[in-house]
Amino acid sequence: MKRLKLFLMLLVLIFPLFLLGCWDQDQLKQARLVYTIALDQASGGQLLGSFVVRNTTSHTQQIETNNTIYYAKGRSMREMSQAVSASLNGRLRVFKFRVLLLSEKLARTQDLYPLLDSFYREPKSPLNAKVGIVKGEANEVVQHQKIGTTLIGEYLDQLIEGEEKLSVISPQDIQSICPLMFDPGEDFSLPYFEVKGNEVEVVGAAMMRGQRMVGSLSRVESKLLQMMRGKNDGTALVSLAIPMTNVHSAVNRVSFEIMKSSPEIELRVRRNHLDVYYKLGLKINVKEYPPANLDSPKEVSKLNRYIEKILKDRCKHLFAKMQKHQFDGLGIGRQIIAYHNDEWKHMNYKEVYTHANFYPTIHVESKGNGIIY
Amino acid sequence: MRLEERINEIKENLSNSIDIEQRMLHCKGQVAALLYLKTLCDEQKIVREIITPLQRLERGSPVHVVRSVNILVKQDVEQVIKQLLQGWVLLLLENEKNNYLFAALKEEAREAVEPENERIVRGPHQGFTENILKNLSLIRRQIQSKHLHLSTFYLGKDTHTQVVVAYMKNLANPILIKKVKKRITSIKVDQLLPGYLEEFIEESPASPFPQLLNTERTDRVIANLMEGRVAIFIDGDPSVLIAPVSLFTFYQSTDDYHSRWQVSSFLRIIRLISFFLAFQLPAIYIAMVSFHPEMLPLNLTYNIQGSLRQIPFHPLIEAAIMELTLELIREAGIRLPSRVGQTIGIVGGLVIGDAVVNAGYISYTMIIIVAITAIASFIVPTQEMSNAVRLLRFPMMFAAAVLGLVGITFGTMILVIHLCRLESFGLPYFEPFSPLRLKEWKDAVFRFPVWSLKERSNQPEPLRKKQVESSRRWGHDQSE
Repeated sequence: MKRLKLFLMLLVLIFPLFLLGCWDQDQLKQARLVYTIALDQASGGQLLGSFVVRNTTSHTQQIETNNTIYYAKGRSMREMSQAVSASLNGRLRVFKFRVLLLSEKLARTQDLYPLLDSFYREPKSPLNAKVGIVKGEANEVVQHQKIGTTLIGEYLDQLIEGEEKLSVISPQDIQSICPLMFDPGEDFSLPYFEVKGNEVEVVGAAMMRGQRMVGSLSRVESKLLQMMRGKNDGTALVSLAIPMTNVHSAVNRVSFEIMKSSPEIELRVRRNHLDVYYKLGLKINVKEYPPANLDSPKEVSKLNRYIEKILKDRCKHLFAKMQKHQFDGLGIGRQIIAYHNDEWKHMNYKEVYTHANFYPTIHVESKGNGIIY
Repeated sequence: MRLEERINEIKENLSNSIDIEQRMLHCKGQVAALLYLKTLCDEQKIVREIITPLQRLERGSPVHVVRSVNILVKQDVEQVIKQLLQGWVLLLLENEKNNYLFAALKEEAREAVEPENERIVRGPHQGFTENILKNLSLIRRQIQSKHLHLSTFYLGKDTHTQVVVAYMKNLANPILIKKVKKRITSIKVDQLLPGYLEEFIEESPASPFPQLLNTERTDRVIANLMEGRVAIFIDGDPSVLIAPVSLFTFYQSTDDYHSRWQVSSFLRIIRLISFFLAFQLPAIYIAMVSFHPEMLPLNLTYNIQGSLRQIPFHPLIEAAIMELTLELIREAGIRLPSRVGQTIGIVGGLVIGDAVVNAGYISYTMIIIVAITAIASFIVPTQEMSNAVRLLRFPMMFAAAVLGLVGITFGTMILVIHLCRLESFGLPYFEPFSPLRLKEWKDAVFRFPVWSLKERSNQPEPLRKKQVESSRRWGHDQSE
């Protein structure tokens, strides 16, 4: 009798073990993986989501992939994904989600965080997914299905990654923009796409003030911003026009790679007045220079001074543009919070920022010029 | 008692078996009888060394003329029987009460060839035989030390199997020796087959891990003896038991000491990795595809998903089918002659492997996982441990299917706790990890150059620790 009781007790203890996991399981086999989501504004304050689901089918040895796009309307991400689930043969899962596209209209009129909230809440969501803004309708991008032989989601992912490596846009993902959305002292930029015929291009960066888009930067400006932030080590290539002695040639560019950019920002804060003394040290590697006379130190320093002059002008322009949009891409506000906290507390920062004086000095140093002079 | 009666008494005691030979002869002018078991004794030896000298004997004791090495004189019939059963020849004289016994055992030993299941590339290709005397002589010949001690036991009420315990008296810990001998002497059983002994003397019968090292290699036994361990020889069994052992003893191959130390260290690490692969890999795969697919790299996810789509089974079932099929093929292949064995390999490996995927029962990924697991388990240099590890992966797979990575964590924790608690003859099994002895990783986890292994492993708690004096002093000698 006693033994039977013990046996039953053991059974009672063991059975729950088998029952666990049913609710916890997340079979890869049944998962329908969303690769890209494009969000547009629909009528009546609703959102239109285009969910690109990647299918993989295996014919014995070969694995084929293709995209299926599901459209859904709703007032939030979850509402839309529920609507998609209704017409999906499997479980809609986002854990291999890579790119979120927003139409410019949506980004300008709606806050970003509410759209991303479900990603932050879900433990399995990929926080390294990218966010991009599309000029025009976002679903136009995903409707391309394939660009060349690459499926659209993968294409966008690789496109963004490539541009990040070339320091054209700042590397941001869902995780990294989260604190910046709520940071009064620093703003961020996101890749800005445009559909051109059969192709999708990164035409620059979208300036995000807080959670909304306020304007856009061209590729050159965006690259310059990266340089000014000191965030483009190694691969940023800049081309500038040079006054050439040989007038017969149409090629009159100097191209150089920025090996290291080290910015220093000094602030003078008086009540509601802000002076920004911006110092940038650049170490460059000349990649293209048709005059080919860099063997003399004089010519080198002449070139350096020339580059300094042009970059200084460009920096000024860029800063003015950022001021106009109240976009603090350099994180100056962050410095005021840290070093001039008393003033910060009594300051309408965005206002002060717009009227700040910007005094850049740039020092260029050529560190290399390839294997010829 | 008359001679006739004495002969009959002996025969009676040996159950009148047909192989009892009786030879009457004249010795010292009286009738004498030789009795022996034909199946055990070397008859030529008997003629040459016993019969011929006895026939010439005029007076004095037979003890002085018989050319046999071992001679006993016994009165007690029980003891006489015992000796007869070990291949001795009994001489009975009509007018003498004494029973003379001469050793004349037939030597039947095969060549000391390399054992099939413990092949190595470099090093001595020598293994033990079924003959205990030959085995002991192999050891004795290579350890020419006065400290090598052999003590013998006869176990099995009926089989009377000879068991020899060998150890280095100046190295092996006396407490250990006492323990080994005590456990051996307390075996009370009718029949001691070779191979039984391990189960009688091991500490934790419930553990999946072997607690004695089972080897047929002479060099391995010698190396272990020189570390202060005890070797147990059993008559009729070419495999020798070594105690105490740690987990890492099973992962050392004698090969390691014959190739360069960098290579050997690399192989040791590979083996340790394979230890984990062999029981964790299928479990990890199951956990990944059924609980945590978000942890897989992006492209791998799509690859695996593609191959999984059409599979009708849960990953656990899929893995179990494949693992069991593999075990079937293995088990079928072992006992077949090698030519048929090859066919099994082809049928099992190629036909089943390919067909099962094409039919859509098992995914390619699973085949790869199972194949890697199988290879990883075959890497273990000792058969016993290889089997143990192969068995472990089933509960691990189950744990993974029930709780995912949490299950694997539980399983691994239970396993590690078990390993930490496990003892081999009172000495830690998981040494040098628990207790942590970083110094001994030099020879357990890696293999450092032999001259740098100045001290013996402390696992068997040897009496003398130093094993290498500074042997490379010539490097500092400028006068060279």
